[in-house]
Amino acid sequence: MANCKRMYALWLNAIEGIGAKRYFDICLKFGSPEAAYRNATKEDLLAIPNVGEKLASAFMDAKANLSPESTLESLSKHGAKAILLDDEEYPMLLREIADPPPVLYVLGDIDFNAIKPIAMVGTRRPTRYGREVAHHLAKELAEAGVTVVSGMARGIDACSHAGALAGGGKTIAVLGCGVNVVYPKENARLYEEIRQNGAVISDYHFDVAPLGNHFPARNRIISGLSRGTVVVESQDKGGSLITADFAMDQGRDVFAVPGNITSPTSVGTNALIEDGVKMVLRTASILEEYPDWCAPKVKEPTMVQQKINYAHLDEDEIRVVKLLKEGDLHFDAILTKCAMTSGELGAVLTIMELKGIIKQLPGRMYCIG
Amino acid sequence: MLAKIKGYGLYGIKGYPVTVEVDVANGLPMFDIVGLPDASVKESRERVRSALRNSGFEMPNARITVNLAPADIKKEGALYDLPIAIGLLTASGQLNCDSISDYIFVGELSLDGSLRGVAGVLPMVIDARQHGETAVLLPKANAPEGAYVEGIAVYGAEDLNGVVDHLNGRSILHKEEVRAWQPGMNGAMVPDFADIRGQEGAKRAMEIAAAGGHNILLIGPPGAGKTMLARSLCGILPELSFEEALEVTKIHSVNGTLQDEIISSRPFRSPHHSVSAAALTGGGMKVKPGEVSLAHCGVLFLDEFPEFRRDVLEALRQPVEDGFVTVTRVMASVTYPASFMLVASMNPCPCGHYGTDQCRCTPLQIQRYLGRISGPLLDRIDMHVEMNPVSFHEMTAAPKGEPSYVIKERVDAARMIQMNRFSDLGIYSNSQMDAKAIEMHCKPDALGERILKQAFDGMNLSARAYTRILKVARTIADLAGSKQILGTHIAEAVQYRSLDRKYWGV
Repeated sequence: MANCKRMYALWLNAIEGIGAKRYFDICLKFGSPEAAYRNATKEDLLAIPNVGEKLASAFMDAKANLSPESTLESLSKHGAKAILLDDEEYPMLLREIADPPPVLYVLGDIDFNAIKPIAMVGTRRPTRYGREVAHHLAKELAEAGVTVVSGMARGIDACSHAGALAGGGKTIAVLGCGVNVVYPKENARLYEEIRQNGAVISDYHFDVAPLGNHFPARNRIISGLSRGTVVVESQDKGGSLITADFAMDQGRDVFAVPGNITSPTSVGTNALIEDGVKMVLRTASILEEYPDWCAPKVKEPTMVQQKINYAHLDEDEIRVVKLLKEGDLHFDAILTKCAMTSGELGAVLTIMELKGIIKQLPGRMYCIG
Repeated sequence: MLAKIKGYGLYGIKGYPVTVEVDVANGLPMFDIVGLPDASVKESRERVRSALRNSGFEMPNARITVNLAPADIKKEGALYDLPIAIGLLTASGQLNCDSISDYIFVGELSLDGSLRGVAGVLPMVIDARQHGETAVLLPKANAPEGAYVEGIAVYGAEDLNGVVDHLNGRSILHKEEVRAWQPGMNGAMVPDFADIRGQEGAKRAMEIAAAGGHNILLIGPPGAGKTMLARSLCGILPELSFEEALEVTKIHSVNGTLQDEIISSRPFRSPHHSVSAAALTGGGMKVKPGEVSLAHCGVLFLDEFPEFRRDVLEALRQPVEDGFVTVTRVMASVTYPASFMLVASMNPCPCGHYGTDQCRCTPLQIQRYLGRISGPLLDRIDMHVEMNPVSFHEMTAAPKGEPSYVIKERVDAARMIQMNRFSDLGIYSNSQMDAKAIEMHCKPDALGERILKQAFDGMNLSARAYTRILKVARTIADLAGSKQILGTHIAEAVQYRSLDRKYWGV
């Protein structure tokens, strides 16, 4: 499509609050974004069902104050690409959904139609279990050539992106704000890495803020881009369950990682499994659904905690390991259960940590490494 | 007629002699005090006038000039009332005493002639004795304080008449008995380590801190027992030496907060986090010693460390680094000693429950919270220890831990080793070691070197941690009676660098 036609598409998409559905309604009525730009009057717009006063005014505002050329310029200013629905580069999987975004802004370099996309989502406040599983699954998926898609939120999203990067793969972050807006701020470094090793995309124009109501809408893009969505941890209500719903509506696969039945962050995921989604016990649980992607691995390293080899440990270390196997313990709790002095235990724990047998957590808690 | 009476003044915590010259001459009646008197000294005029009259003496109707020499040092406080009154009586012929120059006079007068106690008597009497003075006349309330100084006669009078009668020979005042001094006499409020349930890990850390004089940061949720542990520290620190006790008492005397007993246990100060820089380090209008000086030879406890204002924490740098504070006034600067152990406490995050599922803090909030304590002051805290709240079970069922006096024995032994080690270096504890001393005294054995290296590579410890770990390991080795720092000592020392771990803010 000629550049000048594209800029009208960008312009129309940049109107505040427009959304995919009304974008296409407007295009239908006037024939094209350019035609809408040139010919639409407020009355015409209000005549369209679903277009109300707010959008009509925003449209007229934009007609007066926002030039289509500038929307094109903003692409080069931010070093971004725009992919329109009719473009060849537009992800085919995304085109299939009920209300695909008309415009995708992309920062980074990805051929959307040459990837093996799987979405990984979950709660923003995961447990250590959720973080470790998300990281592990994402890493192994990436090593198998999968592109992990997620939302760059804190929690499971961030762990999934990090795991994929650790596995040497590319990853896609779909944002609920303009692609130049880094949200949340603490993921700034992750954002940069994703730009270098994958893509940061959004259907929101530059500078648009991450308002709360943007996130359910962007979740449909996460699931829409992917052949399947994995929910790692979720409370009984949450954005990741919305993403799972979208995936089901879009006819895609949904996977869930089970968790402790006592854990609030596994209530949502366990419920999904109860309802029949595929349970993820290992990376193969996901990959075996896509035999066209890769040959199934002969033997996959298990995620189950390994039996500890006691052969290399001395008496004190064995004592500590046996205590920690029952669960994480605070320093003082370990002390009451072994015959060492406080100083001796401190020394032993440091050495065990250096050997990788145990790990120290905040609050002077210890767990099996 | 001119009379010269010996008085005394205070400069910081040092006394210095002031000659009170009183000239009663012919001329228009006036009463002037010169020699840079402050407002309260100027008001001496009114007090002396009334006190004289109400004691049955005559206020001379003449041209009265009082000079407080040396004339270029600012005079402060009401303690010149007595020497001025005595000077007036002498200069106006109402008092005739040959031995008047044998005495130092210090005291505030009430309008009825009675003598009121003043602050800072101890340092003044000490200085007087050092100057070769032989007798001092004080208000009765201050006499017990002065009595601690051997080698100078201390008399306490109730009122002006009492002083005059003594000088006249009519009724000699009782000379105070020299008071003996015993360490550990007034430490009633210190909790015993045996009373702290659980927290064995933190107690061990306190023992090490006490043994080596290491500043320590306690990290834990509200209710974990940080304050109680900090207070107990005084119970395991070595006893004050006489010199230290004297220094501490002088400071508290100058502060006006001394009871009549010499202070014989280590002070514990815990200013609220809203304290101003002036209140913390000293200064303000009256140049009183600040919290850091009141904590001299003791413990300064900063609870809720991140809540202190940055400028206040900045002001702490000099005392923590040098062991004294210099407070600048308009005319001059005064130096107060301020050598203390710093115990700071904080929550692990704004809500206090970092690491548990209850924690509702965002990583940005946590980073910002921890960011408030970063920097040069954190650099001077050798140990960090994390505490957990004590479970109900631990509180009721855990056996009583070691009592403080047992721990103190170990601490004393370790301190003795340090005294010998540093005898010609001019420092007293491992925490005071500089790079050269660390190089000389803190070489770990081969295993220790390996563990140190591994800790840096594997545990993501920062460079700041390196010297701290060596110093603390030195103290751990001292407590174990080991000349050589072994691998286990290094390994334990690594435990006390929590804040250097990278799991904060993840």
